[in-house]
Formats: sequence, C-alpha cells, structure tokens
Amino acid sequence: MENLDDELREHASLLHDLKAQGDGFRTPDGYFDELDHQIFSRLDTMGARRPARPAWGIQRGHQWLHRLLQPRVLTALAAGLALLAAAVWFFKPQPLHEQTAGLAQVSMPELSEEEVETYVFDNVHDFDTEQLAALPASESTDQLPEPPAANPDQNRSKRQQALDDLHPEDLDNLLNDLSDEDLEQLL
Amino acid sequence: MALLRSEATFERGFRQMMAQYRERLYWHIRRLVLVHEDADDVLQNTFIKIYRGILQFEGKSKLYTWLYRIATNESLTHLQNKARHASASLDDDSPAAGRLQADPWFDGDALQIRLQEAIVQLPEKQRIVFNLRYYEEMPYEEMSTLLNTSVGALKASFHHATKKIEAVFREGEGQ
Repeated sequence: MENLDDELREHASLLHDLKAQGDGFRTPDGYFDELDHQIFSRLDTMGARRPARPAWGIQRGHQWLHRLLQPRVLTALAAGLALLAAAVWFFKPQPLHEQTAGLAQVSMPELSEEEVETYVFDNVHDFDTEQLAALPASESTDQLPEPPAANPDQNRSKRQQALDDLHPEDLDNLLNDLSDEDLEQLL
Repeated sequence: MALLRSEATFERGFRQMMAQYRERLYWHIRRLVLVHEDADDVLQNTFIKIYRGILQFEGKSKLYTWLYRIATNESLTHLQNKARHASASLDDDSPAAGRLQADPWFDGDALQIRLQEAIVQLPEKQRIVFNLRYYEEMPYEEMSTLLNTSVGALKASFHHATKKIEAVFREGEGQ
C-alpha cells in the first residue's frame, strides 16, 4: 500500500504542506447527535417511517399461530395425531385378565361338562399353562375346568372314551368338520 | 445488518448504522458541496434513501461502499442542480470562494479557500478521486472497488489532479 505522505512529498510538496494545516471545515456543536432526530422527523413527515412492530417473542408467536391455522397444516396435524393415537392403542400392552377373557367365556354355566371337556381336548394344544397359572385363584379354580393331566396315556384314554361316547351321527359331523391334520393328530 | 433484517429491530439497527457512518459520509459530502448547510441537506437525503433502500442491499459489495456510492450520487445531483440554477440566474461563475466565505462553519484562511477553488475546477471524477485520497486517505484498492476503476487509472488521476492544483497555485503567485 502506497503511503500518501510519501506520495505527496514526492509529487506535490505544496499540497503536502497545506495538508498539515487542515481544511477549515467544521460543524455546529452537537450536529451529529441531532442528525438522527432530524432524519426520523423527515421520515415521519414523508410518511416513510416503518411502523413500530411488537417485540420479537410476541411477533414470532403471532407468526406461528398464523402458520398453524393454515388449512393444510391443520389437516396434516390432525392426521398425525390420529396416527399417533392409533399407534398408542395398537401397541398398548393388554392386562392379563383381558387376554384370558376368551377362556373365561368358554366356561359359561350353560355349557355342559361334556361340551367343555370336548372343547378343551380339541384345543388342548392352544392352552398356555403359564397363562392359566397366572390367573387369579377365583377365576382359575371356579370357572375353568381342571387342567388336563400331565400323563399323555391318560389323555389318550380319555379322548378314546369321549369318542366312544359320541353318537354315530355326531361323530360323522365331527369328522367332516375336522381337517386332515386335526384328524391325524386325534388318531 | 442482522438487526436491519428484522422489522422489530430495524430502527435500532438503522440508528446504529447511522452512528457508525454519519461522520465519514458527512465529510465526504461536505468536501464535494463545500457548505455545511448543503452538506447537511445532502446527508439527510442520503440517509433517507438508505433507509428506504437498505433491504434491497444484496450484500454483493461492502455496506460502506454502497453507502459511499449513494452519498456521492446525491452530492453530484445536488451540485448539478445548483449549477443549473446558478446558470439560469446568471450568478458569478466562480462561486466557491464566495460560498465558503459566507458559510459560518468554514474558518479556513486564503490558502485553504484557494485550494477549494482549485479542487472545484477539477473534472468531476478527478475531484472525487482527489478528495478520497487527499482528505480521507482511502487506499487505492478500496477506491477501485468504490469507483469501479483500476488502481493504475486512479493513481494517474490523483497525480494529474495534484499537478493541476499546484499549477493553479503557481498561477496565483505569478499574478
């Protein structure tokens, strides 16, 4: 960067000397302090001054509310909330007594003991003994039949006995309703 | 600039910007129009233009450069209007000395008045280059950005201006 002092001394010695004396210009006292006021007064007179806006936080709040009330945003928000509610309902763990409600209904008083027994034998593979064990004592002992015996031979003889007791017509109906797999398992 | 982008803080930002640049812009304008009253008028017009246009400032150049351009344009427009008015009213053709002597905010001596008269006689652009370099000591590189002129051309322009001014002084001594 070239130095002005050197530049003037080299090319314009008269101007170099004059520069040291200043330029003779000055301003009224406090001129620059008053300048802002004068400019804003002129802007007011011209009607060009920007209106004062609310504080940042309030203004941002209004902007957010305005954006939120747009129909598109509201629709998206409602859809999102519905999805969230559905997800919560779907994944919510059910209490154990609700999970075993179906089992309790099987033991309705109007069912005969024989029907209950047949149902249990037909569906014995669906039973979860842990769930049964976890049932409250009143439900498990009063309303449900005795759990099947642990001895498979005893089960087989009971099944055989039940088959023998069946009326031939009922047996035909039962065999028609059974799938090949069920039949194979039964035999 | 950040304050100027929000409507809530715009006025505060503008006041800060004025406080930062008002003196530099004033002296730039004052040396072009010479009289305080005119400089005050031009400076106010400059800031009003800046106030109205600051949001259109794209930041492609420095803010200071943009402000200087507005101030320079306002000053030249003012001088052109004044010259048109003077020629229409058949005022004397060397008004600088008289205007300076009538200005209560000028207390320079005869040499300083003669210097101002010599500067006024320079071509418009050479005058701006001389003022920026001689009074404001602006580096040529910065001046180059401001005036869109090469550094070499600016150096040559300043050199010519100093020679012309010294020639005016020598003529005065010879008379």
